[in-house]
Amino acid sequence: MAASHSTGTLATIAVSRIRANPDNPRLTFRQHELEELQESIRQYGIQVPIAVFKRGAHFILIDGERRWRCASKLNIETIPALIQREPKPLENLLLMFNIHALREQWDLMTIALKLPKISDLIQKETGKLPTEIELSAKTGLGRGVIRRCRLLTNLPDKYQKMLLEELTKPKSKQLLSEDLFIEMERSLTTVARAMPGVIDKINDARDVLLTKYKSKIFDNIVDLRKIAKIARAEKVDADPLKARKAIARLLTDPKYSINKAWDETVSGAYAERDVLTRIEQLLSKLDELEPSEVDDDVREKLEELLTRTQKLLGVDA
Amino acid sequence: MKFSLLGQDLHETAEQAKRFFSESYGATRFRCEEPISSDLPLRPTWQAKMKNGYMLCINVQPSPFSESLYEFVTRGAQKGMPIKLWVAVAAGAAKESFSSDLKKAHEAGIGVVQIEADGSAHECHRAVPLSLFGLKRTKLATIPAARREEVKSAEDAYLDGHPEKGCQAICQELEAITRKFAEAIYGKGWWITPAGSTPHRSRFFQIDSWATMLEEMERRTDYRLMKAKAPKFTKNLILTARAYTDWRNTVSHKPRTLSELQARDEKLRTMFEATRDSLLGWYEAAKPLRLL
Repeated sequence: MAASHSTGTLATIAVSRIRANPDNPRLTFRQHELEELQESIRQYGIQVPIAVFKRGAHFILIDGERRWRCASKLNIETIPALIQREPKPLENLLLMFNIHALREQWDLMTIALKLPKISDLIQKETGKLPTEIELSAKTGLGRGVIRRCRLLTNLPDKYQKMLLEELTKPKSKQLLSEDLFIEMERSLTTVARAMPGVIDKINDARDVLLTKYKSKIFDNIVDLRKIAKIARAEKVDADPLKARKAIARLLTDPKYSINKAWDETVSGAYAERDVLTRIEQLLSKLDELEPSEVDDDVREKLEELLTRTQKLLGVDA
Repeated sequence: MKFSLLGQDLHETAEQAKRFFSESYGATRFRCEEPISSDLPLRPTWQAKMKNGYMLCINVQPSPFSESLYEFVTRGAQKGMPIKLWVAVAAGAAKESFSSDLKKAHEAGIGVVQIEADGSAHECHRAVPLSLFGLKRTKLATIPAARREEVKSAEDAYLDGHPEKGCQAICQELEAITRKFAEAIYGKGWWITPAGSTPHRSRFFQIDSWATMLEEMERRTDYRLMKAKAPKFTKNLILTARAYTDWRNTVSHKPRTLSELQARDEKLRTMFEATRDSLLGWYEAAKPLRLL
């Protein structure tokens, strides 16, 4: 029984005639997520129709792959569906992004892998490659997300494959994450810019850092940011030669830890910069303060600050 | 194998589970994510054929139990389907509810196997064929303490996928109590013995044909006297016991097809339950005689 609808025709179709959309960027479905939906469908049925378009004898999914999978698993024979006209390739891809990527927690890598195809299709349509802003507007993804995606798609195939394999594992068994690769790429880019020539072979550097992570030489991916900070030693008046040696060793010696390199090179300089920044912030706050606004609590703290500063500088009160 | 319904995080576990059941249980003809019949509400990850004729279903999922599985078991048991349902779970991904899920799976007759990352497997418990699962369980408290182990072993054998062994064991228990009972009341002179007939020896009660002995007991028992000595004893108890002497043979041939297996299991289930119920009657009847 079909009913007219402004965006298609509502009908009940056989689950066995439905096929997944090959352009769905979502490559990984985790079983526990499917189980939750399956249980809901078992109890209440499918409340929201899936969206499909017809191609030959089959229906291709636009929206509702998880519902379709669960219905198949539960051996349900028919499913309510909104049958739409077949979209053009770019339209199809953008539909996927706008329907899914904004609504569900997708793995970034799966989105990243489809972005180049979207750029190509837009270029074919408009004659020029889309800017980051245009791509963001078309896909509904934030610019930050697009930049992160690009870091992933710029990775050599070997690492993309490594990451995709990792994403197919249960969450509890995943060791390498997209965030790890993104942090690593950002740090290596900074190192290459701040210390030209220190990275001999970038893939070797990547392998060493991944080995360090796997063997728990460092276990917090944010530590990778320290590599970039060591590379910018000159900016905090630390010894650049010492920093360069440390970076070179970090990217070749799988056992040399990031924290050790940090302590041996720039930790003091960054601590000093941190103190200066805070003092400057305090001074600027004090400028805004009127004597009448100094209450007992503030007075007490200022006196304590004064005493400690005098002691630190060796000045008698 | 290309899975279209199973989440990617469990594909490896599914392949390892297939290997395990193929190597350890000799399962063959694996089919992936296909329906078994239109009225069973689940497509298991794998279905295969087992050497003993049962269909093997393996569902790969994050936890040992789900309501979908329970519905599958209920419908399958109602239809008496000769299916053994297993769940394969990846070891190490256990949720907090793992123990309670494991218990629920056990109660529903679902076998559970944990698959380690290296492919090795640990069987938490085995599956009960759905065709046997509908068995009305024995309330052990109703069995005399001295005989509980025998009855429980018979039921365990039955539920473990060897219904013929379970039935054989429960029938043997029935035979033992009837023989003991008959010898006891004969010894006490509660049989009506025609003048001039040869007295029975112990061999008649303990070794000779059970059917002949029951027939003789039915004919000779002094029912009027028995009413006073063992009030729960009736002629009907002997008649039901006699029925099993014939019945045992009807289910002894090996089923060749799935539908023959289904029919045999249905008969065996009725047989087990009826024998067990008859046995309970004999235990009651034997109480005043202190035979147990």
